[in-house]
Parts: sequence; C-alpha cells; structure tokens
Amino acid sequence: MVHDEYDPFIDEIARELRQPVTLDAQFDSRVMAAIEPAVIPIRVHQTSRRAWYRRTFAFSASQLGGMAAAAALVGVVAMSALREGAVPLRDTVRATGELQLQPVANVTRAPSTRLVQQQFIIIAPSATSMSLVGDFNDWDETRNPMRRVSEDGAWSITLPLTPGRYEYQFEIDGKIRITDPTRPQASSDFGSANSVVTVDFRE
Amino acid sequence: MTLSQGLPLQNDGDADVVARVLGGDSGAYAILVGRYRAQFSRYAVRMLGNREDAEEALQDAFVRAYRSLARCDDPERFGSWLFRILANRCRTAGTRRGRREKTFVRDEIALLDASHDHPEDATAWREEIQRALLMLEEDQREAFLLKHVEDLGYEEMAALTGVGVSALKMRVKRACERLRALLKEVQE
Repeated sequence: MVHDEYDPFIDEIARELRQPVTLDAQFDSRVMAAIEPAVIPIRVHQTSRRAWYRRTFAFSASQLGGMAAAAALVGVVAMSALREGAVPLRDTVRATGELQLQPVANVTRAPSTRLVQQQFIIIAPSATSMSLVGDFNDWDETRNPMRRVSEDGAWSITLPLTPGRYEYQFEIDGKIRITDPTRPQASSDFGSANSVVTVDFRE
Repeated sequence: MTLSQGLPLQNDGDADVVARVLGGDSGAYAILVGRYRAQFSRYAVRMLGNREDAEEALQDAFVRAYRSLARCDDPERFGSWLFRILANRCRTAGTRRGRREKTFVRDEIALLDASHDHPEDATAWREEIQRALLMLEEDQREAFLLKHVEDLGYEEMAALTGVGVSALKMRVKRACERLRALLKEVQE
C-alpha cells in the first residue's frame, strides 16, 4: 500500500515546476494556420453516394523496388474503388521506420459541409493487417485499420470525407507503406510518392 | 470557467464552442486554444524539457483534436480529451527524443520561465530540478507531474492515463524517491 504524505522537499520541487512557461507569441496563430487547410470536422449525417465500379490491377514483388520486406507481398493485388485514369505502379514501397511523416496540409477547404462516403480497397492475401494512412488521419496508422472482407484477401475501409483532395497510402503489417496503383500519385514532402484521391461532392 | 492550480480539464462553455466548430465556425477553435494553451504547455515543457519539443507536441495535439473533433463524445470535457491526446504526443515525442542525445541548455530554462525576477541561484536550482525530472522514467515523470504539479487526484489521473490507481501511486512514490536522491546530491 502506498500512502501519500506531505513532504516539504517534494512540495518545494513541485512549486518550482508550477512556474508558468511562455510559448512563442505566434503559437496560437500557428495552430490556427495548421487547421485552416484541414478537413472540416463537421458532424453531418447526410451523406451521398454514387455508383462506382472497381478495377483490378496486379503487380509482382519485383515491381515493388526490391526491398526485402516486399518479398512477402508477392501476388498482392490492389483494387480500388473508383475512377479511371490509374497510373502505372511505381517504386513506392518504403520501410516505415525510415519515415518521418507529418501531416500534409494540402487538403483544400471544402465548399460543401456534406460528407461523401469514400471507399478504399486493396487486395493483399498475405497481409495480416492493413491500415489506411493519409492526410485525413495525420498519417496515423492506428486510426483507420482496414477490414479483411474476402477470402482472396481484399481489405476495405470506407471513410466519410468532406470533398477535397487527399493524399494517402496503405500500410501493410505495420511495416510497409505502398501507394494505390489505381490512383494518380503526387510527390510528398519527403521525396516519395503518395496516392491522390479527389473526393467530389455527389448529388 | 474553472480556475484551479492544476490542469483546466473542464471549462464551462466548451461544449458550445465545440458545437460552433463542428457547425463550420473553425475560427471558434481559437477560443479552445486560448483556454488550454497555458497550463497544457507547462505540462508539455516539464515532460519534454524544452520549449521547442513542447510546442511541437502541443500544436500537434491541438491539430489532431480539431481533426477528430466529431469523435469527441463528451464536449463538456474537451479538456480531458485534449489532454489525453497531448499526453500521448508527449510520450511519442519523448520516445523519439530518447533516441537522440539529450542536451539541456542552461539558457533554455531561463527562457522557459515567465518570471524574470529569479536570482541566479534560483534559476540554477530550477534547472537542476528539470534535469532530475528528465532522468526519471517517462511513466514516473508523467505521474509525478500530474499528481504534484498539476494537483490531480489519483482517480482523475487514472481516467486520463488509463493506468490503475495502485500503479500510479507506485510511480509517484518511486518518482519522489528518485528525485529526492538526485537532488539531495546537488544540494550536498
């Protein structure tokens, strides 16, 4: 049993540590500037959908850049909900440990406050876990784990997003991040590539 | 507005501000930043030991909270929710920093403290305290700050950290013992 007892020495230490600290005078402005380009976190129940079709793309591990970690991904097939105009797969596999990801504040403010249900799908039969990471979740792999939805290893997640442009990747087994081969790519701030999806408002 | 020596974990009117932000008035978020900046920054600075890391962690916490605001189930307790995000960011930052060489610049301490009337000895003493604090295990440092600096009760600490009361008491006890040992050496 641990009992708290008054200790003048500890109290003296605590008193010193309670002294206020000062932050940069521009701190509040920086915070507000950081949130301005972000997705408006509006709680809206009205959503819209439209019919979309799926395309399937296959690639082999050799295309993934030859990283040892990618060997486990032989046969991975990516399938994305969505639009035509997919670009060829590029060498986009990177070891997570090398990344110093920061939010990419490139999401434009949506003119509409309505949310659009956007589905992301990838097929990775040998994966044991899959997460969607992007600027909509601060590239935090813990926030949008994907669900395995088929025997052949399809992983899916549907997110409500405000209309806008988003960059994202898939994280496999908490180790490897790859781009979506069905989507256009953009260079990230870290010299690598991210997939890009533009979410449009749909009546 | 609740005024206390410790963390301002709940402020009257937070729910109204959250509702405004969720309704599209993103500028209203500045009200929440202003309410929680001061004392949360103190916690972050004490946890991380320097203003640069603390500002980064605090800004990150505010931005993450904003982007996840629709998932704040109890807007009346926005402060508690934000603090949990900040505590996680401090742990992450501490882990990351732990891999770097820990440096502590004397001038940094003087810069951190808002009071300007401390004699040299007082500044040096505070520097030693902060240095000793950084030598604690991270979970002990967190528990010590919440208990003795932010004046939280163990039940509230448990709710914030997800750690049991008994474990928290043990962490505080060990932190006190370690600090006493480290700082007694300085005094002798």
